[in-house]
Amino acid sequence: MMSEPTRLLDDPAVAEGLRADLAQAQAAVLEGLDVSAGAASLNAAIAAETTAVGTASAGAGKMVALGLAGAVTAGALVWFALRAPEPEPQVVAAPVVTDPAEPVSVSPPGPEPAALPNAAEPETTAPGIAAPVATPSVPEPELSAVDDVAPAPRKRPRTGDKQADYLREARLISDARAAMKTDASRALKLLAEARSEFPRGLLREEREALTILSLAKLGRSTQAKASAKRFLEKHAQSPYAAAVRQVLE
Amino acid sequence: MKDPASSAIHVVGPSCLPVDEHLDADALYRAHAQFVARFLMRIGASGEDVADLVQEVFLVAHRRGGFTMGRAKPTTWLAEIAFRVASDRRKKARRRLEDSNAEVVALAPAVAASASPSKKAEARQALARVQRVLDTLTPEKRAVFVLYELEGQACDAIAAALDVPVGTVYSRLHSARREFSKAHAALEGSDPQVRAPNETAVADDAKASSRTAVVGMSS
Repeated sequence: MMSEPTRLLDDPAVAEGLRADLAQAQAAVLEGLDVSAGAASLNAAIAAETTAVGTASAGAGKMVALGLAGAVTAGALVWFALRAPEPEPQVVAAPVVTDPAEPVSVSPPGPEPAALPNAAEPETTAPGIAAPVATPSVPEPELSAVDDVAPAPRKRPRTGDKQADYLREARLISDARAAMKTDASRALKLLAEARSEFPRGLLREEREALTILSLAKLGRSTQAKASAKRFLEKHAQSPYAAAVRQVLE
Repeated sequence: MKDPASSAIHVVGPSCLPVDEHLDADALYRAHAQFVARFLMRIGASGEDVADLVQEVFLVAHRRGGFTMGRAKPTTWLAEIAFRVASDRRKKARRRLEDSNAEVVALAPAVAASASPSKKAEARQALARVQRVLDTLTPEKRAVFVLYELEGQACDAIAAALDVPVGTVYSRLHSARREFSKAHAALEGSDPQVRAPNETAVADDAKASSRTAVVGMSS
């Protein structure tokens, strides 16, 4: 086995200036990367991605079921048309077997979950998850760290489908995170929308943290600090605690 | 929030060596996000892009099922992903231009806060010189040079991670060292005090040899 070449830093034959520069480069420290927040964001993206894959699989299953149901329906229609001239309208609707959780009508099949974009890509827009409503939104106690951020003008009720709800919540949060970099006001609107739709959402901790950071970015430091204190009282061990704590400094 | 598929995987704390054979994306991120960010910067990613690229690297790591101990180390394995992610971003150069206010990651000199201003300035200039000279290398040579000379990785681990023969690693390293030394000498020979931080002038021969390699990398 070949021995490793001597590293430039350890080679006295190499120019001193070069070695000194390499030593500086080797010792350089990284600034500006919030590992805790990044890890939380990564986990949210992974969860959203997993949900999207799960939804796609479920969607494929539903497609098969719908296809079979359609075939049965068509078969029944043909059979009845050939068998008897007298109309029996109630038979036509009978064999359609739909998933009660599936809010999309049988024909046309509606937006395919398989086509959902990855929630980790904030540029993409939310697909039409919202269609028909299975469960009306139930008012729940407000858990927000920020009380006076106006809710979004359009309140879109939850679908009742946990996966679709989670995907939408994750996308709202992801969009808010992306918007925060350039337009904190828009981020606040998206976060308010998320709060309005999913007051007890799985990503409420991230939502509250992003709200605080957006407020701070907009210069609303009094609100940001008050909310940050409340947040840290509730979530002292949160992965966002370090970022939120900076608002208080 | 964890992927249910990965929750069964044994993970270790962020700062210790793995005690098991598998690291999931979360454990990898907490342990090696800084390494990946540093590597990305050294191979030419801009500070505005780094946080986003790091996220992408670990998403790819997740899609690959996390890291299993084998021939490569987790860092070199991640470096290979980072190299590909950066190359892909290079091809889509300036795709995220709208995020110009994004979280900015930077490499800063490791000098004591009490150091004199001139000492701090010297350290910053040294970092800038190294980065400028690295910019003259092709991405492949640059990755090997950074991993070997700055990150202290072994050649066989680099070869395993990049999936190339170890001889290729030696060859790239040899060539990278020659070009690096030449470009560094040329840069040092000129007066660094008169060079603005963003000035790209380096030795003409070194610049000509690799201009195409770095276009877009720092977008």
